[in-house]
Amino acid sequence: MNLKAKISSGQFFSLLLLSRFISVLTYSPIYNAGLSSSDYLAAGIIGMAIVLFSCLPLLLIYKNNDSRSVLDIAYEVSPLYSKIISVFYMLLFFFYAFSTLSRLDLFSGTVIFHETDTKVFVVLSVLLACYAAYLGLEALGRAGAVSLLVFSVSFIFIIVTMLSKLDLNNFSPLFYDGPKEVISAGWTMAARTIEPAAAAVLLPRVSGNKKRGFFVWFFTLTAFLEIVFFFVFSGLGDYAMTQLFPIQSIAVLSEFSVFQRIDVILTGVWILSAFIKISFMLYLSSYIACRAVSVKYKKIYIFAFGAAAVILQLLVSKNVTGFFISTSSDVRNVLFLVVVVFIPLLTFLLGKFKRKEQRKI
Amino acid sequence: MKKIAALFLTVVVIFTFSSCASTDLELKNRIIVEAIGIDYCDIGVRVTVQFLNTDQSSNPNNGGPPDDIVKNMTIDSQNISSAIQSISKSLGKLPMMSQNRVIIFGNEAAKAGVGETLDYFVRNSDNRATVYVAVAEDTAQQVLCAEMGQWVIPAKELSNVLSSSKYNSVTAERAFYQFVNGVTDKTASAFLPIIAVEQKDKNDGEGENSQKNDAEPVVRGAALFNGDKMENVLPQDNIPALLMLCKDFGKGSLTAVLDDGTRVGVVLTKSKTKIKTSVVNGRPNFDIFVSCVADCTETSKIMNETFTPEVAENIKTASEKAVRENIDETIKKCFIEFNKDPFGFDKRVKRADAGYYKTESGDWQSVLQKAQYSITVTVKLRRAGDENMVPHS
Repeated sequence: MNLKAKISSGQFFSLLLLSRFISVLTYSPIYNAGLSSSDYLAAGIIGMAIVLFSCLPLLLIYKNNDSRSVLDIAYEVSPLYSKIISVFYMLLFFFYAFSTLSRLDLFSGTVIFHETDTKVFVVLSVLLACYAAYLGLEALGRAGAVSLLVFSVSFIFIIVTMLSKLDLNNFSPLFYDGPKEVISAGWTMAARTIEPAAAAVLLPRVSGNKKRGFFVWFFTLTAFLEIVFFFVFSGLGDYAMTQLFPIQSIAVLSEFSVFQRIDVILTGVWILSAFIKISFMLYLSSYIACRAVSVKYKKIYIFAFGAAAVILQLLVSKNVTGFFISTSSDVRNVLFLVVVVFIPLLTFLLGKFKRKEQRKI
Repeated sequence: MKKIAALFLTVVVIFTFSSCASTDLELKNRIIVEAIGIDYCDIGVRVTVQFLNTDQSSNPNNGGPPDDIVKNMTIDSQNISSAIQSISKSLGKLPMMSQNRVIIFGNEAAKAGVGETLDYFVRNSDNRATVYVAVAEDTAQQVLCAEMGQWVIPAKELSNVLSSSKYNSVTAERAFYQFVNGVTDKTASAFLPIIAVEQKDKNDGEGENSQKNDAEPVVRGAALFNGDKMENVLPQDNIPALLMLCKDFGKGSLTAVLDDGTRVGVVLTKSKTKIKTSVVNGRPNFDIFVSCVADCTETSKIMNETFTPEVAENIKTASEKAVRENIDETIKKCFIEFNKDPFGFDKRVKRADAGYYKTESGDWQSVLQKAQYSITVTVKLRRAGDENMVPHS
């Protein structure tokens, strides 16, 4: 694992896009029970506006010098401070590796292997993800770029083949139950966007036009979110609210001539994207551990985090209600506020203060 | 080392991620369910399952009669899932629901309420949301076990009949997810096609067993629901209007009668419906605009009489009148007589005036009674067939 190798802006933001896409694909209406169909569209816009604001600390950090990450600035402030925030970052990425694995387990156990045990599938998925993470950021970047292409083609195909099933009558009036629920749903969507934290850690290892890459990522994600919600609710109507994975359900509506059962394409894309995200999260966790602890054990960190994710998942999945742990809004909200917003902002301010102090000296 | 690890993982994945590990999942060991019928009985539900006959009990090379393509089994149980699982007790195979084409509710079951039975289908990820749903004129068991010639009517035939609205306008085609949306909507009314079995006597040769009953599935109107309970039946003649108002009209035919008594057969090949909704003086108001494209397929005129633009205009006018009257009759029947809204007009009112809908949604039936509407129909006569026409009379 080369800790200094760079990847292109396109590859990096492809990884970030895929990482967030899988969160959208696994979105379940339980997160915002009672929200009307049109309000999801409004919540998406509100959520992405919150995400944009949450990226302001990143902008401050990288505005003048994009060769130092938040961890580099933290180290200049104090090595101890750097270690403390590293723990938070590791916690964030590990939680999302576990959370994605948990959703993968729930999905495969409910939709694919509902008559067999998914333990073997979970263990093997993590083993493969560890291997992919072990190959390094360049390999992940290449895999991410190709996977994004596959994802986009299959997604567009599914969307086009279900155009005839849309019914705009399924949409309710905007803000029918008031704006409070909509804003809350927007916040929930924003809190699931932890990709700015990945950018805070890895942006110095990205070559090319990062600003353009960021805005392409942001607007593509916003468009994807709105398109998905539009098709889910105009196609399925309120039936979408009854489904654990409504986006999987809309793929069931897709039919074109002799092409039927196109939802199996989405199943394959789903699993591929989940695999990329788990690998990416494991890579990030081990990368930070290398920097914070010791680079000597870099090979062990990945498998240690992977093993921890598997053990946690096997403990949690014994009982179906255990899956709520990985979807907990409280944990996500705290991690988002602390790691994505507060830490980069604090680090920037402390870094600026430190530099002023050094200039005075 | 990396290559060895990659090769090892590839081999492990090939042999564990595929279904090779478990022979229970092979197709020959599965009961491939094609149709499900639900009736109610004393202990709970009577589930009739039609499944593919994957075993061939006679060798075709010997000239013996082939078995039925499908077989049926009826099980009484407390709930649907235990009924379906108990099939495996008799057949020693695991049921597979993903190939299910049709769900049929018995007439009495529909009247009693089908809400309890929907949960199984919503919860089961194998069950596809696009499965066709219908109500039987009698029992679901009767429909699924009816014999067409020597064999039972297969589910494929039933699904062809239930999905035929793109070819005719007399089948109120409904997918499972659409039915669930209708049932869960507190102001709209769900509807389902009513499927019946028509018995036809057929004289098949000589002897005592020459008279055979040849059954074929037919659609007879639509069942209108109040919540999950069937309450009314919309006649077959009103189905084209129902489909137009739901924007589900594919193709249909009608007979227009001209002023001079000439009967003209017209096929409507396209139909677009626009509905403008407003709330005026505390009443919902619907302005319905229907535009159709029609082909004239036959007239009762003698062939040497000329088909002129005036005749074409008369046909167009008569067709518009026929469509308008059909829509008017259907809306009156649903709103006034049945107190039902199967057209989804409630959602239109909700979007037009959310405050009004919030206030009135508790007593939507009285809202339907006072609803006002106007119908404008435009028919374009696209073609008149191969017969010669003249430019003027």
